Amino acid sequence: MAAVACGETTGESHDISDECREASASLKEICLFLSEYSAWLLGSGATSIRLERNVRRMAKSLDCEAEMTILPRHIHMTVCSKDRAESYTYIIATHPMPISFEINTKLSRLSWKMADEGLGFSEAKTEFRDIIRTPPANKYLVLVLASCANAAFCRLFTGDWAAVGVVFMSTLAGFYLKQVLTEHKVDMRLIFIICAFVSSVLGSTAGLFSFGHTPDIAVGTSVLYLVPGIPFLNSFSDMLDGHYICAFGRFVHAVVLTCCLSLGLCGGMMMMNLSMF
Amino acid sequence: MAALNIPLITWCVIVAAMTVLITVRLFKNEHRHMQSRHQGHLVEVGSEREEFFVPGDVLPEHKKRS
Repeated sequence: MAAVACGETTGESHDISDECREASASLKEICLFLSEYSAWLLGSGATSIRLERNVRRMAKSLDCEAEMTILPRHIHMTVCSKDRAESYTYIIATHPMPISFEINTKLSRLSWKMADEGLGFSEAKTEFRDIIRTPPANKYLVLVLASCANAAFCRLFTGDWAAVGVVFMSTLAGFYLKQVLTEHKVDMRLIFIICAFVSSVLGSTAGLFSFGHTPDIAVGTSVLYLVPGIPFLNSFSDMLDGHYICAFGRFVHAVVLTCCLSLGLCGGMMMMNLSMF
Repeated sequence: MAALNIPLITWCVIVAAMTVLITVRLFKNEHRHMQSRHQGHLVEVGSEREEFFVPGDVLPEHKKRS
């Protein structure tokens, strides 16, 4: 987690009493905690409005105020006392991690616990440490569920059962490959191209061996699991809320991933001699 | 003729690559799992007791406890 800069401003520059020093230290601790909290919340896939509300709620429960600038990869956090006599600023990079609704929900719950149940600062810090240690969901379970979901999409798009089976298998293979490549820290754009290519080639099995009546639907839906739905939704949510820079950043990220998906799909269709229109 | 076979060749290559990947990963996982549990190898020569186990026989770990 990269700290780019930190600064401190106080109303009285010289004779700072011990009491003030203690208050300043606590303000610093609060700022660092809220910054880290924000980095994790934004990294886990939360929208900017959720981040703002949660952080302000927590700051209010700690008897201070928080203002922040949310950028696509950084958060600029300033925490100040109620009378604005002191403030502390910290810039933190968002935590790079896969989207996790579990961590997202737990972090939001933590903010409510502080606001409604009066959870103390040290307890909140302890709970935060526990939350960020939440293990990721079982990858094999995710693999099977994602394959089932994609196969269900095929059925929704009026694919027959042969197409559903093909989509299930092609998603299983593509998603497994995605997990393996992600483990090896391969660039996400390259992963999208490779997985879309593999899934579209396997998705054309029904057409290649002439079974089933909807092979085109099987090819079309075999790559749907790669559509970056959450970045798109978050970008629209941010745009509606007026966070245009963050919205634009997320939108560009989602568009880049969609282009990579399309590139892999087109490559697969070209290799399988399938016409696009 | 070769151009006609490109889709089939592509499909076979992808399926073969995925099969190899899954097999290698499964084998590696199994190997790691066995090493962590110190259970020996995937194929090994067992003792006579293990080969001719009859339900009711005293297991080695039970023997150690007693």
